[in-house]
Amino acid sequence: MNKITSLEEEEKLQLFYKSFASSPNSTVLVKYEQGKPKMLYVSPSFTKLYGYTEKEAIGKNPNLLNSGQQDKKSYQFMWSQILDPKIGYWTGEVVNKKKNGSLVPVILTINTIFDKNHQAEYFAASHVDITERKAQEEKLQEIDRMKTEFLSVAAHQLRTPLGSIRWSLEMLLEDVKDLPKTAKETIASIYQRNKDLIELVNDLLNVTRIDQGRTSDKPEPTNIANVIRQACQEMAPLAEERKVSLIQKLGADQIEANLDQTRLKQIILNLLSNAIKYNHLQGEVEIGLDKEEHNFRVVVKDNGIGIPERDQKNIFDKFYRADNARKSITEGSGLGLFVVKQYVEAWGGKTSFSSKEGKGSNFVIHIPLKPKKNTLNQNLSSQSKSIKW
Amino acid sequence: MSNSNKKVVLVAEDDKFYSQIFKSKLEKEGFIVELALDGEQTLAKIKTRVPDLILLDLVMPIKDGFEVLEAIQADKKLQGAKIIVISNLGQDSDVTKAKALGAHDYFIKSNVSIQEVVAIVRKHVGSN
Repeated sequence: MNKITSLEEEEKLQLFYKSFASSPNSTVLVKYEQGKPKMLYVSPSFTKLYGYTEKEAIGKNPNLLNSGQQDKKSYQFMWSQILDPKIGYWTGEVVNKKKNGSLVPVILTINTIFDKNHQAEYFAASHVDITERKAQEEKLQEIDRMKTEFLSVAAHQLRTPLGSIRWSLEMLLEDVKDLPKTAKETIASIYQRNKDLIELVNDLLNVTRIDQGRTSDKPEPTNIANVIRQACQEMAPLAEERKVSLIQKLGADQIEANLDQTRLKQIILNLLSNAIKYNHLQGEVEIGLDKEEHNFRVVVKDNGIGIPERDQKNIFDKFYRADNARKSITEGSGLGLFVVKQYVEAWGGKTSFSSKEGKGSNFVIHIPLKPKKNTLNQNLSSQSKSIKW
Repeated sequence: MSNSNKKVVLVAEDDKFYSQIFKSKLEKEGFIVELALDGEQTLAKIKTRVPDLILLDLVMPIKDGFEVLEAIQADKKLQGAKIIVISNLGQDSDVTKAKALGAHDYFIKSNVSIQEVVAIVRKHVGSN
């Protein structure tokens, strides 16, 4: 019985060896002895990729492929992973050198075979040529760079006339004292619509930055109540126009956190502007601030039009607007709550709400007193980990 | 109040529409306003007389606002004015770069009212 089993085992091993050897990926078996790796076997696709014959490769140290571009730290990390019997594995991007001196980017995967004493004995490695993928990636990066540049130029070109319209209207209202009431009202409403456009340009830019993970995060010691008071001050004209009363309940006046003030103000402005805009005449908006153990909490409560149940699961989506919001105010970008959620979550915070159509909404944000730094950027950079040999 | 006590504001702005608004508003508020329409004119005006404050646009012909900041940073004789960048460029990299080159403050034009511009100028040079 034993004999048959071992034959079967041997056959399996042979099959496995064949599949390893004939893999379209370049495969290498490396013997590791006294701290020195030596190539024991190279597959036909290896010789094809790198241009070395079997004879030229076998017995050599795999650093034959070293392109000299290695980043020492990543290289050391790789060795620490493959020599550790608890891990025994490493995969990553490297740039190797062919026999003719040209460079080739590959995904290298190394798997260690340990002996009885948990010492590394062999490394089975596979190299996948990613030249084409790299070229595609570079093209995409170039397109991304062009998109960013275009947006920057477009924003500048849009802001220039919008800003000058804003200032001219301001001067007009100030200089011409004897304008009839209707003319004044018309100018005031042009002023407001122009300001809406400016805000739309700003919102679009913010969203693009979030998408690209390029949002700035400049933390500084901040008194939260002060930022809320500033935001309320900025929202006062809108509240007055809509005859909505804005109530501040800033019980925890002294809360300080280390965070980017511009971002926090944007979060609060977006919540307040929704609560005021999607409200009834003579409505009420209340903003509250409390301290929790590791967070501070901001609550924005209104008795406005509320969010229909069917829209509730989507309200944080980019460009999404609830049905009744669209009917109530036709303009609006559907970006405000998206920005709120992205910013709050980037700091490691949470956003939640409860709402009833026709009754009002209650938005709650919890932000850590020590917010995470710039997670938006970290997410992006973690996608492009690679090492160079 | 005599003219000699009035604060001098140099407006570096190539858009004539904006520069006229700056001029009429700031003069009304009691400032002496000098206008420069490009980066080179700006530097020439500073060479003649260092103003109390410079309102500096970034996108300008011949020499842009960044080049103006570099030139000021490199020449002690041109220093001494408060420099406020007021531009419609607003990427974080622009803000960081301008501040690193010596700008005291940075505002996006379309995001502030002209009344706020006056308040900013007052904050940096005091009232006349």
